[in-house]
Amino acid sequence: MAGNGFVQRRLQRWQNNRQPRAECEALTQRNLYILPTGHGFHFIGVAGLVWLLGTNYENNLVLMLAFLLAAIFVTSIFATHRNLEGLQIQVGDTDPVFAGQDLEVPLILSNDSRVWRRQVQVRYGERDYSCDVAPLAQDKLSIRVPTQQRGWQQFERMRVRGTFPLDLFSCWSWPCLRGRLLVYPKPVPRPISREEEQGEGRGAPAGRGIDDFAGLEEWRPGVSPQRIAWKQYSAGRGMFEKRFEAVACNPAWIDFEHYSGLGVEERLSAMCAKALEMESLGQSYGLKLGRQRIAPAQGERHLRELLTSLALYGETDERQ
Amino acid sequence: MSANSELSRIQQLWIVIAVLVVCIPIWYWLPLWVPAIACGGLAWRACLLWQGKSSPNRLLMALVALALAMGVIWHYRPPLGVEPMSAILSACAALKFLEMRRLAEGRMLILLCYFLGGVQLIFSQDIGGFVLCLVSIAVTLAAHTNLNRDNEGQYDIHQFRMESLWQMGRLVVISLPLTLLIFVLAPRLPSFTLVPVEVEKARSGISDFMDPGSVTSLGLSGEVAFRVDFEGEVPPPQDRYWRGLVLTQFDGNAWSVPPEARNTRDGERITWNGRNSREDWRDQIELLGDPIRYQIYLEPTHRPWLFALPAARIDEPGLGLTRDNNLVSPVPVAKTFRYGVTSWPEYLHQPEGLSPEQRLQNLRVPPGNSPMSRELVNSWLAQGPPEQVVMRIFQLFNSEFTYTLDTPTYGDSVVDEFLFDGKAGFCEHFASAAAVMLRMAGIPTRVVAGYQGGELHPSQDYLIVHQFNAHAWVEFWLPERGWRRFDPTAAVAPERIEMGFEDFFADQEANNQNPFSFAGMRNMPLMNWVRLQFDSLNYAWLSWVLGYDSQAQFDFLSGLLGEVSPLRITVALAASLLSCWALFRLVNWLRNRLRLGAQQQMMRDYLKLASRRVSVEPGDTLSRVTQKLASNESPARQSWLALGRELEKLLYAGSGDLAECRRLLRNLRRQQA
Repeated sequence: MAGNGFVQRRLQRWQNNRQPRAECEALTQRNLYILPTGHGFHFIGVAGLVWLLGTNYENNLVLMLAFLLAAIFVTSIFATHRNLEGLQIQVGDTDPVFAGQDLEVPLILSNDSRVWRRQVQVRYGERDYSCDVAPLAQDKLSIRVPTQQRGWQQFERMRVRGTFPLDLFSCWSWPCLRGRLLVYPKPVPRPISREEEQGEGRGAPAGRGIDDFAGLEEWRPGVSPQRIAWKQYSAGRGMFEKRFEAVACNPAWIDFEHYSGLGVEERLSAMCAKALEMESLGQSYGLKLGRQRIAPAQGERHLRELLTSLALYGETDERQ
Repeated sequence: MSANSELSRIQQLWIVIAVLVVCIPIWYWLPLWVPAIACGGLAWRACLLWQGKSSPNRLLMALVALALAMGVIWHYRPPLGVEPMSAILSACAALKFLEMRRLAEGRMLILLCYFLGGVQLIFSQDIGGFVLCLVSIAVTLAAHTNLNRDNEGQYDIHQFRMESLWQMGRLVVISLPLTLLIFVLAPRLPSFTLVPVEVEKARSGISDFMDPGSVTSLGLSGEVAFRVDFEGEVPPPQDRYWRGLVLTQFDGNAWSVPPEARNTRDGERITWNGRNSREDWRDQIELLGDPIRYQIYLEPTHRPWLFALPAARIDEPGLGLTRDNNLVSPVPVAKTFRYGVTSWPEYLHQPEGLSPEQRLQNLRVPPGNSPMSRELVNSWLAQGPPEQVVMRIFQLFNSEFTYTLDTPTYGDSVVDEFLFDGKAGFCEHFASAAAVMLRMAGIPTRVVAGYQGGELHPSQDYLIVHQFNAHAWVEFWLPERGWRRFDPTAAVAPERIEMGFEDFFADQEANNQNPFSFAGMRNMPLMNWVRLQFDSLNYAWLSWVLGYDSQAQFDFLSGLLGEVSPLRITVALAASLLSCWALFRLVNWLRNRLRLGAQQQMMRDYLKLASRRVSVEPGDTLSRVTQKLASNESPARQSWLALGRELEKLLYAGSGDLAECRRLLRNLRRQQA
């Protein structure tokens, strides 16, 4: 479906009207198409040769064989169609990834019928996947979806195709599925701009709790800039790393305003990196993002909530 | 799966099975070296697989292919017909397998197999051959569908399953109605080239060369030569002389067709139906009396001559009549051939006279041959006119000769030894001796080879002529009366002519009984019944399937539709497709009904069993009953829950498994008991 020719654009528009985005797509007569393959034309060519043989030798049985091959050709239209008809496709829950990584989208194929669905081939983007679905069963294909930017990612129109049993006909559909594919911003660590750091260090708001400062350690390369003891450094006592003893009682705010001088996406990336870091350090952290506030906490769920907010910043829910 | 992907072992195994199943019935008809080369190729591949090597030596491959081509040319000589074509194709299929790697090559080989399935039917057209062909097509289809399977995980040879064969068998069965529909309706085009099909090994029946013993060898074969469907009454056995060939050339031992008469393409010797020729041999025959009409279904003989009662006129265009009053086909009969004949049992053939050349030919006896016979004939001639000689011969044979399949071996001077020494023989001995003596008496005489008699099928009213009905007799020419038939066998064994061969020899054969020989079968009523039923099946096959040519099609369709017009055919086509569809829907509906019925039965059983444990109110839903059962603490609780879930799926989601429900219910019942 990729392509930008006029015909293809028209085809795509027609397709969009005909088969709009859906939560779960059942393959039916309406959205399944079927045409002979190249191999199918070879097959019917051989049937033609057999017919010539029979006609030339005036041999009724050879003619009968030619007609049988032609009938098999026709029957395999139904067989190929039946192999896919009624198959239901939906997108399962997808774990979010950071922009630039590939989403692993579980595509669930459910088979309600009493027949096997053989060789269901799915093409998404440039990649091909295939599986057999047993009667009254489900099968899952892991579709890799590349990501570039944060936010909700669209699940593109894909092609579901089957040529079983004889590869004489290709039966396909272009289902377009709704999937909640969330992409977090790409984490890019950046230092907090100077004034903000001072602001943070100078006077934390009253309700922030006690700073559980445990002491200073000698600075080693690779330490995050937030943990460098800038006060000591500015007093000319050398580089030191602030060490914090407690885990939960030092809530830090990850604030959109801390990263002035950067574009929105860069800021979000930096905040994302910060949140990951805080989580890995085991600290509490909260989020200030425009008017949105997420109270400091920690843990997997908290991180997800926070990253989701970052991912969806400025995004209206229109795509959903 | 792209065309370049490698074939898995399972796929290769399927292809080799398909190639073998398709080729073996063809190889049966070919010289032995063809399957030898092909199987050599397959064995070579097996060796390579065994050693883990992938591709064979290219040079060696080329040499084998060259040897194959040379062999075919040397064995058959151009122009090459269907036999060398199938030799090359079938051997190539096996050799191609040798270097087959990729999917595209596998597909090519499969397509070749379909074509070879058609070639099979050129060689053999009986029911068995067709069933064999269907089987090989199903196997090829199974190999074909396996090409379309994912080949991952199929490298393990233990994954080989027959399942796809059943699937494809079903596909073939489903396709059969449509096949028949096309078969009935599709127009038949005339052949374009008529490349003769000649299969040496398949030649059967009488030949154009008759030496002592050649007809005797046919005497034991119960195979069918042809079947005859008479329109009116079947003529009595003594009138059933099926002429085939006229043998005029005698070399002292054997009779044969002169070389110039063998050439069926020669326009001068044959009057072709629907074609103008210089001389019309039909003019030389004077037809008298009432004609008999009949259809002959001739089994493939791979020879051009046709059989008929004299004097025959044929309706089909393209067939010919020779000067000797024989019917011929322009090409060897390679498939069961149906032709309609009208015969006039009373006729005069060439009553006006023979051409000098013909006269000479029919009087020639090699000089010095059979001196004792010549003396005998001369003594007869001294006593009366030449016409008397026929009577004399008749009396001679009648008095002291024996008619037997157990003929003594005769030496070089076969006529003398037979007449004065052995005095026992089969029809060819009698015919040969009679013809020689008549020629010596100056009467133009020729030997006729054909069949005599035939078995009347008790229920179907058609005549079966077997190979053992092969017969030879004599025709002599008299002025104004033309050619007359004289059967010396009738003199020595009139019962053979009147009762038929099988009854005449039934006693002779009774000693060495083989229950599967023809005579053995005839003597067991059940076996004979089976044989006759099988023959009528074959006959139906002949007349309905093999004989369904454009004429039969026209007759059938006009009988069915009233008239044959494009409109009516279209309507018939639409109606039959529609009824196919309706039938399909009906079957589906019935199956659903049956399923629903089974579900209701299931539900009743379930409630009956449940009411033994909990009280079931009339308005309770399935889930309510399940809840009641589940609240009841008991070891069977889990089973009840599982059954409830499965039933719910079955009834409302339409996806549950009925068999699983049955199993659960059965287990519960056992627990209750």
